Amino acid sequence: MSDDAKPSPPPGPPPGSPRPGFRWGGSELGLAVAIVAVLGLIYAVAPGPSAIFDPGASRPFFSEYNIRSLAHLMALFGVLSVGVAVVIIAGGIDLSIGSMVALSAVVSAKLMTSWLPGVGQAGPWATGMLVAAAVALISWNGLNLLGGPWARGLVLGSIPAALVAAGVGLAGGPMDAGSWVVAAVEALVLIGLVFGLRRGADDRAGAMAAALVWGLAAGSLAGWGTGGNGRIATVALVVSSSALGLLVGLVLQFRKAAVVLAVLVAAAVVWGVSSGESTAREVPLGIIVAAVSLSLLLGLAIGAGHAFLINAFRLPPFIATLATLAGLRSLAIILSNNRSITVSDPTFRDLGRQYWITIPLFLAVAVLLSLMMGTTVLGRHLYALGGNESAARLSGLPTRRLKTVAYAVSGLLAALGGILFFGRSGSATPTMGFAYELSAITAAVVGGCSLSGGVGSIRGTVLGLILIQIVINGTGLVVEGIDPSQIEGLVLGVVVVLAVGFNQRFRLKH
Amino acid sequence: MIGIRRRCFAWAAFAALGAIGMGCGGSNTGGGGVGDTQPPGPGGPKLVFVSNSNSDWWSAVEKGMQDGGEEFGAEVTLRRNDEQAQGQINILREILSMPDVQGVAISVIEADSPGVIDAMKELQQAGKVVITIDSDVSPDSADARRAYIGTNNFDAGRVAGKAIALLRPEGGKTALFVGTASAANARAREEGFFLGAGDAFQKTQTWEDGTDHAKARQNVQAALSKTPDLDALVGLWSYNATAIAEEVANSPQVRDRVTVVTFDLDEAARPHLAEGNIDASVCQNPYEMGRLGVQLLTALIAGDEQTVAEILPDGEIRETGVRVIIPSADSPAAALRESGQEVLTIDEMNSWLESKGLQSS
Repeated sequence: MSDDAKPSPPPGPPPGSPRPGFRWGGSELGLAVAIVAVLGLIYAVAPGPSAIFDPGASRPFFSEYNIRSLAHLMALFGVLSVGVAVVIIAGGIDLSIGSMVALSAVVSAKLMTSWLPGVGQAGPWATGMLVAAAVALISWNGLNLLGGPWARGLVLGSIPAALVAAGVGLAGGPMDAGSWVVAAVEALVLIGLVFGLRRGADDRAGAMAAALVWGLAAGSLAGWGTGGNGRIATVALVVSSSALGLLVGLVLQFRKAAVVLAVLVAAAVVWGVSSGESTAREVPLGIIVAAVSLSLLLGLAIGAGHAFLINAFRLPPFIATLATLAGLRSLAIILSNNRSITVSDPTFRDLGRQYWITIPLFLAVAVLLSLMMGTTVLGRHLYALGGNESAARLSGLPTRRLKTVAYAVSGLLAALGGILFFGRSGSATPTMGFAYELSAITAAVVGGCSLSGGVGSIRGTVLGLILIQIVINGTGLVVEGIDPSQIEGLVLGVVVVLAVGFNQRFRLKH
Repeated sequence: MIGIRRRCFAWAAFAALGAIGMGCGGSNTGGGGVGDTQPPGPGGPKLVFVSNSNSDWWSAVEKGMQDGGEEFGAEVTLRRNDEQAQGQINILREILSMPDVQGVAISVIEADSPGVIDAMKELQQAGKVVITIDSDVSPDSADARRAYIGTNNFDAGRVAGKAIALLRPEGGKTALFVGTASAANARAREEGFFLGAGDAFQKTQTWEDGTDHAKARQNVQAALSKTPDLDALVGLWSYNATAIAEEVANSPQVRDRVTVVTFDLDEAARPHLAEGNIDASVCQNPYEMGRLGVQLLTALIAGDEQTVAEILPDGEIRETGVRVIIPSADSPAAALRESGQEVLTIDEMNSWLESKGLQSS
C-alpha cells in the first residue's frame, strides 16, 4: 500500500501497482482448488444413489434439489458476508450483524403489521416520538447544511424549547409543588446541558444537544400536549424518515444524491401510509415497499452510527460494534415484546424464500461491491485505509468518511439480510440471526480477508462462503451414524484453520 | 478526553431527563408504548408466569392467563425467557426480590437444571406458591413445585404415532426435526411417537436446529437430500411444522409421497394445514394451561382446598390433553376419534381459535 502514502493520491490505480480487488490472487485460486477438492471428496465418500429426485444424478449432494437449496442458503448468508468483508478490508470489524438481522426483521414486521397501517390512529406516545424525531433530525440536517449561524440559533433557541418541554410536562401532571420543582430542574438541566456541551466541546456538540431539546419540546407539545393526533403523526413519520435519509446521505457525502434518497424514502413512506389496512396474510405492496425501505435506511443509519462512535469517541471498532451487538438485540426484544411476529404475505415472503429472487439479488450485490472495491477510487481508498490508517490520513484521504461508507455498507446489507431471512421463515423473532456475525466473518477470513485490514476481496469472500457452506452441508449429508449438528462445528473449525493457515504461508512466501 | 467525558455524561443526563419528562408529561394513556402483559386490574394476588422460550405458542398461554386473571381476580404477568437456563435463573431471582408476587408458574427449560430447581426452592421458602406448567421438573425434584399443569408429552407423542400409522399404514423411513433433541418434551414425544407408530416406521435421524428458524428449514432440505426415499417427516416443536410444510409445498413430487405430522399450531402453520401440506398436527392446549394455571395458583394462595382438589384429581399433576388437527373430515386420522381422542378439522380449530381471540395453539 506504499503507493497510497503519497501526499495526493491519483484518482485511480497508481501505475505499476497491482489492483488488489480485481486481480485473481493466489489465495482465491487456492480456494477454488479447495472447493473442487471438497466436492471430489463428497462425491467419493457420499453413500447411496439418488433415484427419486433426479434419476440422472448419482449422489444426494449433487441432486438438483440440494444444489438449489444450498445456493439459496449461500445467497442468504452471502449478503451478510460481503458486507462485513468491506468493513474488514477497511481495517474494522462489525460484530453487530446478527443483532442487526434481528432488529431489521422485527422492525420491518412491526412496520408491516402495526406501525404503518396504524399511524393514522397514533396515540400520544407515538405522535410525540415521531414529532420529536422529525424536529431533531431536521435540526441535525440544518447543522450539516448551514453550519455556524444555524448552530448558534439552535443553541439560543434551546432556552425557550426547554421551558416549553418542562411546561408541557407540568401541565399534564398534577400541578403540585413537587411537579413545579421537577419542571424547573428539568428546564435548567436541559439548558445547562446544551451550554455545557457548547463550552466543553464546540458549538456543534452543543447544537446537537440543542436539536434534541427542540425535538423534545415539539414532541411533548404535539404528543402528550394534544393526546395524540394521527394526522400529525403521519406527517411526522414522512418528515422524519426523509430527514433521516437526507442526514445519512449528507454524512456519506452523497451530495445531490442525498436529496434523491430523501425524496425516494419520503415517496415510499407516503405510499405505505396511504395503502390502508394490512393483515399478516395480506400486506399491500405500498406498505411492503415502505417497510423494506425504512428497515434498509435503519441499517444504513446504524452502520453510519457505528462510524460516528468510532470517529467521534475514538472507540475501537470491536467495542463500538460489541456495544450494538448487545444493544440492538435488546432493542429488537423490546420492540417485538419478546415474541415472534408472523407475516405470511406471499409478495413480501418471495424476497427471501424464492431462490430465483434471492440468488440474483445476492449476485447483484456481490458484483456491485466487487466492482466498487476493485475498480473505483473509493475502493482503492478503502484498501489504503485498511492497510495503514495513519499513512492514509497523512496522504489526505478522508478517513472518517471512508469508515462511514464501510460501516454503512455493512449495516445496510445486514438489514437486507434480516429482511431476506424474515421472508424465508415468515416470522420475525428477536432471537433471529444469533451468532450470524461469526459465520459472516468466518467466510470473509477464509476468503482471504485479513483481520488487520487492507487485504482480501469480495470475490475471495464469496469463494470462502461457498467453501464453508459446502463443507457444512456436505458433512450433514455424508456423515452416517453421528448427528451432523454435533460434528459440523468440528469440521468447520478444521477447514478454517487449514484455509487461513495455507493462506498465511502462501502470503509470507510472496 | 475531558470533552469526551463531559459529552458522555451529558448524553446520559439527557437520556435520564427524557425519561423524567415523559413520566411527568402524564403517560396515563400509554398508547404507542411497549410493555409486558398489562395486569387486568387492581386487586387479587399477583402472579408471574415464566416461559422457556419466546415462541408464538406462549401468546396463547398469555391469552389464557389474561382471561383467567379476569375470571378469578388476579394480576398476571408473563415473563418470556431467552431459551437459556441462566435466563430463567435470573428471572426467578428477580421474582424473589418482589415481595408482592405470591404465585409463580414456570415452564422449566431443563428438567434437571440444578440452578433453576434451587431458585424454585428458594421461592417456596420465601412463602411463594410455585407450580410448573407446560414443562415439568424431573421426578427426583418434584418437591421444588407444588403441582404441574401441562401435556403428557409421551402420550402426545403416542397420539402422533397412532395418527401417522393411520395415515401411512405401510410405514417407512422417518426423519424427526426439533430445536433441542435433549429437551425433556422432545425426548418424551419421540419415544411416544415410535411406540404409537409401531415397527413399520424406522427412524433415519433426529435433526436439531437450536431454535434457529433458518436452520430448521435447512435441516428439512438436508434430510430430503440425504434420504431421497424419505417417507415421513415429523416436526417435534411448533416452528418445525412451518419449516417442513414450506419445504414440501415447494416440491410437489416430494409432497405427494411423504407424510407430515407435527406438534402444535403456530399462526404460520394454520394455512399449511388447510392446504394439506401438513397431514396431522397434535395440538396441546396452551390457552387452557394459562387459564388453569391462574385458577390453581389463586386457589392455592387462598387455601381453597375444594378447587385445588377439583383441578388436581391426583393431588399433583393435571394433564390438559391434546387435540389432533386434520385438514378435512375425510382424513384417515379421523379414525382416532374411535379411541376417544379429540379430533378437529382445521376449520373447526380455526373457529375455536377465533372464539378465544387466539392466533396459535
